[in-house]
Amino acid sequence: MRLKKIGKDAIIIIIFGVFLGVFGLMYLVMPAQRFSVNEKRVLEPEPKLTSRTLFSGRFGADFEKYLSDQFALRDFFVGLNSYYDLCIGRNGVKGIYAGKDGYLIETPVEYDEKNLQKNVEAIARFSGEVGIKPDFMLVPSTGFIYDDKLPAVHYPYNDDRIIASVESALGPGVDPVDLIRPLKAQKDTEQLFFKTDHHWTGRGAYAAYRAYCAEKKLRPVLMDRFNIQEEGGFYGTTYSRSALWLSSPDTIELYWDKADSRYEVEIPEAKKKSDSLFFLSHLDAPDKYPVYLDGNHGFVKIANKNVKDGKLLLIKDSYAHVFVSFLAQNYSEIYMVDPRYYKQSLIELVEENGIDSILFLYGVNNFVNDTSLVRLK
Amino acid sequence: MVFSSVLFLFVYLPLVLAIYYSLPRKFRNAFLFVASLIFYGWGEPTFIVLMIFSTISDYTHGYFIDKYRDRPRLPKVLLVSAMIVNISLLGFFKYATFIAEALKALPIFSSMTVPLIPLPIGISFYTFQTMSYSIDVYRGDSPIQRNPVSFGAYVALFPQLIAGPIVRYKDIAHQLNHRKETVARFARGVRIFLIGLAKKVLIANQMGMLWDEMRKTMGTNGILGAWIGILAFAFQIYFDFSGYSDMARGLGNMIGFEFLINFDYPYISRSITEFWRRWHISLGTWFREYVYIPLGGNRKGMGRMLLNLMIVWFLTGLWHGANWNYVIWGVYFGVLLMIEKVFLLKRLERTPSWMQHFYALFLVMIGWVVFYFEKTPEMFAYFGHLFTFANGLIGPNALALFLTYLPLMLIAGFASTPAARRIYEKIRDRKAVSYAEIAACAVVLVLCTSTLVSQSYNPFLYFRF
Repeated sequence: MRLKKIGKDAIIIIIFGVFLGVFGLMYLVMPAQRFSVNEKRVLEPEPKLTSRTLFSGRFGADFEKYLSDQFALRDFFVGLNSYYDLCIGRNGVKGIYAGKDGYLIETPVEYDEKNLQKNVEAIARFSGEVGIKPDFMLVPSTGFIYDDKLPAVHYPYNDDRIIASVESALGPGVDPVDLIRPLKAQKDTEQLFFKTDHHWTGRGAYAAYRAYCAEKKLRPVLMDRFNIQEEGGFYGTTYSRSALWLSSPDTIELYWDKADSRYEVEIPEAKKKSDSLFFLSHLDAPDKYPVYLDGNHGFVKIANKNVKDGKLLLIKDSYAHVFVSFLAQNYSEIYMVDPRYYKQSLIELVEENGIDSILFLYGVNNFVNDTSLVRLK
Repeated sequence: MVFSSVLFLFVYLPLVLAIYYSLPRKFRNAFLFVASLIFYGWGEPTFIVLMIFSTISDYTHGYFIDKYRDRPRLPKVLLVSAMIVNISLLGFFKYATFIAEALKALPIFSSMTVPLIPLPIGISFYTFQTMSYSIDVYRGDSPIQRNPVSFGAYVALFPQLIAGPIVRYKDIAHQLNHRKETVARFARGVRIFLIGLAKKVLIANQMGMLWDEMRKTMGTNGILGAWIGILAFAFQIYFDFSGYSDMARGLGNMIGFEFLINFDYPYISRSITEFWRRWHISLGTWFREYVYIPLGGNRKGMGRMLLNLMIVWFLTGLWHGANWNYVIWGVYFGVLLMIEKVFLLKRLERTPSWMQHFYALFLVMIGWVVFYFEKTPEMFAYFGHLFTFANGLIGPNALALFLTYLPLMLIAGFASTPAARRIYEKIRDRKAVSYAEIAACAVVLVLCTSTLVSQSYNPFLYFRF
């Protein structure tokens, strides 16, 4: 009896000691990682010990960050924590719901009413100044469109109310294009949003493109005009954030014009020129969405030599990138601007290039929290 | 440094234990002293000086109190001097801002600038510990400690340094130089430590998140939402604080010490009197031994007893923080304890036990509202949410949150009672239970590690930009 007792005690001590000791030793054995692919960020470097950092407490704080970032099997532990949270009922605590059919869906956006107000005022002011009445499209979130894929317990999604209030506040200064109705109508026949990413798919963007064309009296190109290249293995942002590593990947589609296309894509800040809307090097990464127009840039000019006229200023976030796959068929020139990075005057851009249409295209979650629209000029 | 960090668990603790056990016994206290200073100074090295100053002060006072024991009056003068040093330290570093702000309300001080003094970690704990030493020596309740290193190890001992329990010198005097490290004690330490770690990392932090989330939509949560919110805070503070105490006791065991228990399932209390016998026991004991009883306790008639209670509870409240809400919180319990002492306790005992539990928990929860909200208008607003139907029964966000956290709240509720412990004690000798226990230790280690490591998991996804 006595021996047995000591046996159990010894095992507990050994488990404890070995676990702490081994993971402690791993810091010495394993080379430090510099970058996390899942998090898309540079990991905390080894902190420098100086008397200043020591006495200010900086060293202590940075050291803890460094140790957490460099922990052996870190991705495993982060994933384990996510699955544990799911088991214990805390779906959505990392900002991502694990929904039905493999959907990883962002929780409803949190925002500051005053910030939204400022954005609305900025657009109203800009529309007045620029002299062209812009079209205005807000893309609802995955959770709002695919509400049937959400877990049983979830926060309410108010995208319809937010969009309606923005549009009514903007008044007659812009032409709003409703996306909720067309997206809701097609959500069961096609996959309009990615399961592992917060963006819409090409199909979702195409549905919106049809709605936009109807509003603008443009002739939309048909889907069968394209050769569709399917690329599997796409793990997007909601996958990374959820850390539910066992989820299945998405397939991302590239839409190649069956006819000879004559595009000229210019990205001055990256010194890139291309004759294609797709930047195939991004297909090698797990997050393949930047395959569309090379991801986020302040300014991108897309010229289509097959189209005679129509010059569009597209003020947008990343939802626009796939949308342009279709829209570029209808304009000879698209000036795509991301106000987060583009600080010059848009009014001058419009005047210098003879632009005749303007479109605002934002994901509603981005729009409510954007802080760059207030600088529009 | 905190226990629930990667640094402590995977670097500091294994190193300290390995070195501690490889040293001969006579060097162990010295090593503990140095290791504890590193532990303390990791976050803010400057304040080590303060702690060493407090240590030297009480060591010296104790030494001379003992040396001049036979002189008239001198020991008392020395004791008073020791108290003045400690209370001034605490008063300056913890309460100067508070006092200055209170004085500012008076017209003559209205132009005074309020100093902003950072609060040194653990000062409320170690000043109380060093005071206990001088008092115990003065009273002859404990021998003096001639070895300054051993005394330093007592004050700075990393397990209980920053969040208690408040270990009185006399409870540990013998252990300082004559403790026995054994396999059984170490293993018990591991178990208690892991229980504490789980309380902190797997329950308290999550309850804290629930409470934070609830407060974002405070105005629309409804009456039920408000109660769920404050219940979450009640769980958070209990599991956080008692988790820390458990970790401290467990760590103490690992290096051969036995600290007294600090929390004894306070939420199963049937009265406020009982609650305070079960909540933060080391603090209650300290105030009883060193304030309430010296003031005359209950031996000088009803009037004096009530006054003494009031003094003790005013101070207890103030000890928790330099703000009026803590004072109100302390006085609130002081008044409740008085009422219970005068007549209510006897009547309560005649009511059904569920009513006694309800009574005690209800008043404790009201107390947590006072404790949490430092700003009075916010406190009153929350009472509005708790007692009116102005916002309906429960809002959509509050309902979703409640359902999300329901399993964890049930676990927390269960873990607040001694039920699991009782079951364990009945079946602990079965073989299967031994395996289960070993497995449980491993599971807790892995889960806590995964939770701690994921706290730094912070995808920077510029999609949203």
